[in-house]
Amino acid sequence: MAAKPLVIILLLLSTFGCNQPFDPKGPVDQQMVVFAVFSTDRDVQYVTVDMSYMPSGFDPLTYTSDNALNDVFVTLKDSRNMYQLRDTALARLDTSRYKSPLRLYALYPFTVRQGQTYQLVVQSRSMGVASATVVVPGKALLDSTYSARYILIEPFSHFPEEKIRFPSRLSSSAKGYLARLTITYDVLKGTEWVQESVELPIATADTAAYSLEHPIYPQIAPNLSAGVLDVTYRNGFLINTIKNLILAKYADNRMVFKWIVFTLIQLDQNLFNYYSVVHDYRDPRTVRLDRPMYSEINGGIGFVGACTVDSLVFLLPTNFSGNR
Amino acid sequence: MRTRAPHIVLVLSLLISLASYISKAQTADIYGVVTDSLTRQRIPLANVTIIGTGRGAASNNVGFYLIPKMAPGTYEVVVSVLGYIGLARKAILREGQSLELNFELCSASIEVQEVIINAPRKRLETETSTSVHVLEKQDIKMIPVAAQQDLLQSLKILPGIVSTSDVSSRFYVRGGAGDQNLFLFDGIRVYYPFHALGIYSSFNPNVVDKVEVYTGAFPPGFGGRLSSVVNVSTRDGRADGLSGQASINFLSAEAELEGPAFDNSSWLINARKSVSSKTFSNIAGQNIPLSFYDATIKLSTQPGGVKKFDVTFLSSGDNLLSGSKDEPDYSWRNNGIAITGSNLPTGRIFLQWVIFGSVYSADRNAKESRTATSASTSVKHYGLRTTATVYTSQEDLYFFGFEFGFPSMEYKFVNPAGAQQEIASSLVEPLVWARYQSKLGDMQLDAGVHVEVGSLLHGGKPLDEIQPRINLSYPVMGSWRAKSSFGRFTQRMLTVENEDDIVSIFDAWIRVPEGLPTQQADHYVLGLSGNLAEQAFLNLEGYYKHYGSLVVYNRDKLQASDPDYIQGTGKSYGVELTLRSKVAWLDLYGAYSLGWALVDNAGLVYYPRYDRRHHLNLMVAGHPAKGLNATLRWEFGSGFPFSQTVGYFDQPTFTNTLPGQFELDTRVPFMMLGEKNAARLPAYHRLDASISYDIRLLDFDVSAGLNILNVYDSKNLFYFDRITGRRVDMLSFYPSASLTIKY
Repeated sequence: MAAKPLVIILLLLSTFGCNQPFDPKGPVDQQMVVFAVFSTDRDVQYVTVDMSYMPSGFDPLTYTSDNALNDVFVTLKDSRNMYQLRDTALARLDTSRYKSPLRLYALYPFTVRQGQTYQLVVQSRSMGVASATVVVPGKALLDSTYSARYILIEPFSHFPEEKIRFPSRLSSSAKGYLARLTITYDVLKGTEWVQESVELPIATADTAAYSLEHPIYPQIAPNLSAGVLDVTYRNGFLINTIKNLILAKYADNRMVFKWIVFTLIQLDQNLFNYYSVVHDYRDPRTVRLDRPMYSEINGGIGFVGACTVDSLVFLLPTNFSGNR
Repeated sequence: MRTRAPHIVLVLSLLISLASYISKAQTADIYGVVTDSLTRQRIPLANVTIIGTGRGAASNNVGFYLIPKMAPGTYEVVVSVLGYIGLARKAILREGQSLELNFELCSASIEVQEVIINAPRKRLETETSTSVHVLEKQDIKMIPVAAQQDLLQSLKILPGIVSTSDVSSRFYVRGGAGDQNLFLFDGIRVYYPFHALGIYSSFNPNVVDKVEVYTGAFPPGFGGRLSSVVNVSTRDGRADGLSGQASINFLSAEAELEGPAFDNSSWLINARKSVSSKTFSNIAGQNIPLSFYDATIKLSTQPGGVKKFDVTFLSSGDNLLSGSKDEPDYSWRNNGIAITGSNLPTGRIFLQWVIFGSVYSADRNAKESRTATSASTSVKHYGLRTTATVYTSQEDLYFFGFEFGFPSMEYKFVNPAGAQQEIASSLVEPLVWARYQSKLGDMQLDAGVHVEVGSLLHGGKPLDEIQPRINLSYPVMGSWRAKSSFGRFTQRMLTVENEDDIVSIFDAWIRVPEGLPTQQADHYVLGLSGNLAEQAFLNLEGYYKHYGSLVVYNRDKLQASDPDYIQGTGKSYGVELTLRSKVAWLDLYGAYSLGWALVDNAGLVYYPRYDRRHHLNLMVAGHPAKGLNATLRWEFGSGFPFSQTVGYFDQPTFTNTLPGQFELDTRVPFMMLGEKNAARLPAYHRLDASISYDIRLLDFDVSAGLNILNVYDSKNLFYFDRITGRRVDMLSFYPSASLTIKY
């Protein structure tokens, strides 16, 4: 019967009950991993140079070997000079995974200039050359309204709903920004004066009453509207922040309020893009479900970004309400 | 649209008037319906032949036939269809007087019935058209299953249909995505026809009469999807007497009642409910606290002549309720109604219409899950659809139709940024189509145009929305026919899901985002079919699908202002071979597909995860003794694509360190993937067996069945957890039994 061969074939196949091995790992793609964020508010700039790795098992957190790349020569070039970064090490804040010190490359003393373009070149004997270019955002123009200045030095003499406005203009090379308003004070703890700062929220869960429950602070935002900004706070939050300090947190301590600082941090394109990707685009409307890898390094993985920090400082009078 | 709709009606009215005029010629027509003498069920695809004239016709999907323009005289009209005893009747035709000649056929004994997509009545459709498959209830019954029969699982034996896992009825047709398939249940559009993660479908095979599956180049009248159409027709309740059935298996219990109502009317109620979630867990290999139900109610009446009216209700629901507060709960529901009617209002125009409503809703309650967020979605789709068939001559058949559909979609979710979102959209979907079937010499022509009027009015390109559909077949030698077809299709709705998800439990539908063109595809099919031997039928088809526009993820999205989706393109092509044969008491079936699918996402060209290069299904069904049926099925599929892990690197997250010391930020490992979907999973293969025995005891029809899935316990990879290294295989050796008692 013609069906017999087919039945026989099927029965023969049935003897191949087998377990085909599977490993999702492919050939290891060894890459140089470079991260750097140059900032205008510090006189030392760091670059980390590591290797990509493959854990022997599947949980990457079980990989605890130091994967810093040692055979590298790191330089930073601007339009006129070339600087060589030195091999150094820092103590890790978190030693739960890596026990060895953090190995990196440092340039000190060195402050990046606003508006300047830098090229980072990392040469490795074993991994070749990786490079990246970064444009440090130019200087931001910060200002405050006339009324804002008065409110800041005498908040209790003004209504809570009054606005504290900071009309500003971002550099055209800034792709993102972050605004902060902080109040700095000295507090006597025992016999020692300690300086502390607290950031003012831009809103809270109960904005109408200016409650400080569930505060909402400004987030990194894209540079839209051709760089024109109008960062606005409400005096009610300033009043309640001070009240919270003098009546609750440090009710029994002596305090001296020193200054209020409006800070504007500008992010270059690479840093802003990277930040957006790892924080799900900060896009309240996104329906996207995956997270891509962002890399802006030629010959490697990672990115070199930059940020600038500009600020307006408002010194508080010695008779500032709350000083005692 | 408001201004154009009356124009469409006017054109159709003119056409109908024209056809009425034609019908007044001095000849006469013979028409009628073919029904089952006992159940009063209409019989489609019955051959009606007028002896000695070479004239004849096949009954349509509601058993209606019409043979136009017969000269006056006396004729013998014979009706034959497999599974029924043929019947001949005398017809006396008088000039200008059409004759209604209805046939009631007696069912042949069950042993005569031929199964496994081999029956000649199906070959009427499949031999002359490309990419169409017809399955009937007995075909579904023959296929070995996990615990209970399933319609959509049965479709996986067809060439060109691929499923990525044993535990999902979801399928992919000729390289198309899972949301490109249109499911119709007596005209109800069903948006998520799956139970139990997709292990089973919501369509109970016991209420199914026939399933038409178009895997490509489908005819005018079907639209809104790019890849396939699954058109399910339910059977009527028995009109001859009260009948009941109860069955139970490891998974569910089912009860069915049917019987006559008032004159020439019948009703059918079928309800099914899961009885144990333990069975799901055994099938899926993990704890799945799931329960489901579905119910179908159908009322049918044939008030006289060829008229027929039906009302069908479909209701199904699933709950996946986890006992753990860290795991989300899911629930989804499908409810639908279709009111259908058919009539012959004028001499040669047969009208069929359906008013339908469909509501799909789904909820995901995240509870305290860290990986999922709460979401809900719904699709409501109401509409009216009418088709007029105009019989003008023996060789020519015209179809005209229109549909007004109003789908509205809602999707509420919390996005990865933590914001509550709601996407609500609605569409007005008027469609019109015209179709012409003719015999030009030896060549059979089936051509038409399908117009997506709604898309056109919303700025769609006329070349995309006015869609030609054509099918040609030509006898080349002996029984061999060459076939070719072409069709253009568009789709305005899509599901939001991660295309790399293993199983999608929660399908949210949205319309194509603003600013993007409608998804569009062209199908080209070439085929050859014929008999290798007297009892061996072969069908060979090659296809090429070009996706001119697809909605794909914007993988270059960097900022909130960048769109989530962009326009992509794609293509798929392949060859399919189907062989059917009968040797003594054995039915043999084999289907082999060789296919490629590619998606182009802004220059990144990759194989989608459902791209399967080789797919083979072999099936042997035997009937060695009265009431005894046995089936062996072996399936082989080459591996699906996946992206390999090629390493990790530690990346800073800048959670609280801007503009501080980024170098001290705690870094998290990021998995580096190799070229997208460039590697392949291991191949899949499995042997299933089933045996059933039907016997009549007292007044009861008893059917006992035994199914064994994965007879040789092949370890087919389902998924691999890259973090834990845990491998999860698909269905292992799985025996199940069932018992059905029918009164």
